[in-house]
Amino acid sequence: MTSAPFFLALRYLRPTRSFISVITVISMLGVMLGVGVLVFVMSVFSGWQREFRQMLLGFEPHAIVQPLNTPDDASKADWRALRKALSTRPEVVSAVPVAEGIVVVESEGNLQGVSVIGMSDDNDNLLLQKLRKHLKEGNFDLKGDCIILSDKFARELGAKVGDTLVVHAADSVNQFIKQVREIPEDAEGKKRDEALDNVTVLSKDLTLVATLRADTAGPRGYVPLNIAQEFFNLEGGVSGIELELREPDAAEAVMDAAARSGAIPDTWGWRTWEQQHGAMLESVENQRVMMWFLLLFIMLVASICVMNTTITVTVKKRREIGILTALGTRAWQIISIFVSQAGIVALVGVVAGLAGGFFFLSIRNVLRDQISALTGRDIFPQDIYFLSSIPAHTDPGDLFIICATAVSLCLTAALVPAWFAARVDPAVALRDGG
Amino acid sequence: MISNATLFLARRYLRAKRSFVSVITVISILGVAVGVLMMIVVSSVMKGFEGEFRRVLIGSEPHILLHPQAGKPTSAQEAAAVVAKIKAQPDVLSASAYISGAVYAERDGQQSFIEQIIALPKDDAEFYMQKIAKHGLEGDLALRSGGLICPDYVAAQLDARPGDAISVYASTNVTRAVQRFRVASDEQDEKKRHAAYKDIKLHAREIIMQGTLRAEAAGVYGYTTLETAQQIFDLGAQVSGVLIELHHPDDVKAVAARFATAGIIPTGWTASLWTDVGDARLAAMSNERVMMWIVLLIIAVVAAFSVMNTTITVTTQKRREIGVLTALGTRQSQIIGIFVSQAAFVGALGTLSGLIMSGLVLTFRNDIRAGIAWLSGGGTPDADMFLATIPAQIEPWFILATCLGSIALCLLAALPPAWLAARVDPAVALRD
Repeated sequence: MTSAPFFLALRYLRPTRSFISVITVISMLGVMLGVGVLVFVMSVFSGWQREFRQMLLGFEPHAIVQPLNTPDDASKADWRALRKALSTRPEVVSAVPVAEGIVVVESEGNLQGVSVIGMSDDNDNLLLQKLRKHLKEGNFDLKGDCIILSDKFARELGAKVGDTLVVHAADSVNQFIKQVREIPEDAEGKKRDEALDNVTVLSKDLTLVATLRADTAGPRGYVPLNIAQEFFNLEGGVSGIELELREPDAAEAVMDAAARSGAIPDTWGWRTWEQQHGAMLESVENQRVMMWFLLLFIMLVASICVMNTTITVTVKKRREIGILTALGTRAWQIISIFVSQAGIVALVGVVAGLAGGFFFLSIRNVLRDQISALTGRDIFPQDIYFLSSIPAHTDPGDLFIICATAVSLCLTAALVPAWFAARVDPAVALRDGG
Repeated sequence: MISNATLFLARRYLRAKRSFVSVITVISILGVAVGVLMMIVVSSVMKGFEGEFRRVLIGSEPHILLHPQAGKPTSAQEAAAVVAKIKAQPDVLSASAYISGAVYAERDGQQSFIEQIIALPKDDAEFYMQKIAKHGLEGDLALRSGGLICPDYVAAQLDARPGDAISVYASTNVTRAVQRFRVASDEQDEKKRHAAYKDIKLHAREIIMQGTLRAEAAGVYGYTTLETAQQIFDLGAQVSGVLIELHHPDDVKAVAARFATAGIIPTGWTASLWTDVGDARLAAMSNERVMMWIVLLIIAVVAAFSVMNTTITVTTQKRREIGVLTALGTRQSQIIGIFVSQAAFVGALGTLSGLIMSGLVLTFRNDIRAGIAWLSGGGTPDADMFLATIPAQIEPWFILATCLGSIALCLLAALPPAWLAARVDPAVALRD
């Protein structure tokens, strides 16, 4: 392409004392608003999504490798070897044995179930290290007969740090109920006594040594590994190997690769933190896509504005187009004059929009406080979004898509009138006058 | 004043034949229409979701539960006295004593758990069961003595159909039995141990499962009669408190506050409201709706830019005419009126077509979704599913505000170029 179209495009953009420059500036404003709003809203959304993932990663095990069948096979014995093999892999930063299950805690007249993870107190247990950050009260020490619960659950139980709680294995309580029910209550005394002698309820007195903040550390409880093994009837086995990964965001791919490379035996499967919270993560992602779709309409209307401007310009320059065509300028050159003019409008609008978007992002929390003070309503309540300030994270990929969409919509909008303008018969155009 | 002449000229300028002005006018109308369409459709659907959520809560949660603090039971007489006082209040649909508690259920060795049973007097349950009956799936939903209405998942876990007998026992009984058993099994002496076993009983009651409810709309509640619950929970003649249904459940907070100031709530009692469950979520939903509306308002602003562009172009095109008109003695306000009324026409037509389109989109919203699902290869959602259809709630005042706002933006956008055009010196305009 020669520079002639650009030269003319620039000239047409700078007509002194002409109304065309005014409508061009207004079109730029439209593009600017579209880009600015998209950058702002998508950044806040991405930031929120990121914070949400961070929050989950802050307490959820990155991945757990677990036996596929009930732990009655050989897997019970070879978990130590597997743990060793997994911990030497480069993508794994920590591999610890865990025993997961549900326990039932007694409180005044009620039994309340809670899911717990049993784990060791080793220093190389990174899951333990990251959970320590959410400590609310007490000492995060998994030694002896102790349990750690979320502050919310402790409140429901009416328990304080230092209290002793009676904890049962949920399965054994169910088993107990079943067996008590199977023995008819009016059965002969002796028979009933004998039957009940064979029933066991696995229960322990555990000291509540610490509470964790439920809003950042989830509802789960934690107990020492040996206690969990007893509760869940594992006899020295484990229910899984917990892995902390170097790149938890790619947990799915990392685990898939590890499984394919044979690091995980056939009798073991795995699950990641993303699978654990799949529905939530998906709904956040859906909202993001929906938002994208809605905000795209701003851009669409902005490009309509650009189209209007291009129509006006092509009509104003009808005579010139006639002359250019008469002098042998080809149709695509005429088209490129007006399309590149729209391109310049789009580029300036995009740059201004980026500047505006980033400016408002930088003052978002001040803005929130101002709006709250003015309207008296909190527009980002902490109990719903679990964050005290509005997050923001600008993804370069998003940014690129926003800018590319803006520019291509404007170019497409300009193409239609430019094409019509280029088809003008020079004789007609010159005869009609401008 | 807008005279006939002004409107006449505005109409003439709009109908310029074979002119590009009509093309850019049509495009501006399109922009305004898109803005109105998006604002109305998105806000109506979001409002619909909000309303649906409220309706689910109102339709499944008791509007107000009055009960002594810490869940202690109260005597039937005291509850009856409160019921009598409450029923005399104007906003109250009805009220009655209730019992609530958690129970285990069992049938043929299958176990399940009902998080909360709500028990109402057999002869005075109609006012409440009416709203619950909407979520009925199977069986008879009129409370019968010795009968239980339970959520569908409980019935599935028990593999029970209406008419089947199931055993239920209070979760407090289970706790007590477990506690006693633990103490008893620690006893080394066989005689003492066996003596202690005598107290380990779950006190199961045989009741008939008489109907099931759709849990996703009706929640986790099971329903039975007051006397049945008194047997299950071993309460004698006691009850848990008073359940109140209101004519206008949306005003529940004001009503509860009025009860408190009027002294109807006995000391030591507390009120649980249906909003307790979803209050924060509801506030966030309406918040998100307002923010969304603001963001979509930007579409209308950009559309107004387009209108401004059109007005600028038209005023420039008609510069000579404006000069002639001014020279003939037309007042400035009349000139401004020509172009502003032209923009008003664009705004009104755009808003109207946006309104019509949004009406169409909202009417066919489910067909549109089905179409998208079909195109993208997904299946259609099961008609029985909760939120199987996209909800939408239309608020007339809101639509009016959106339409007026959109037209006002167009007028505002046309005003500056019209004003500048009217200030033209006729001599200069005619000479140029």
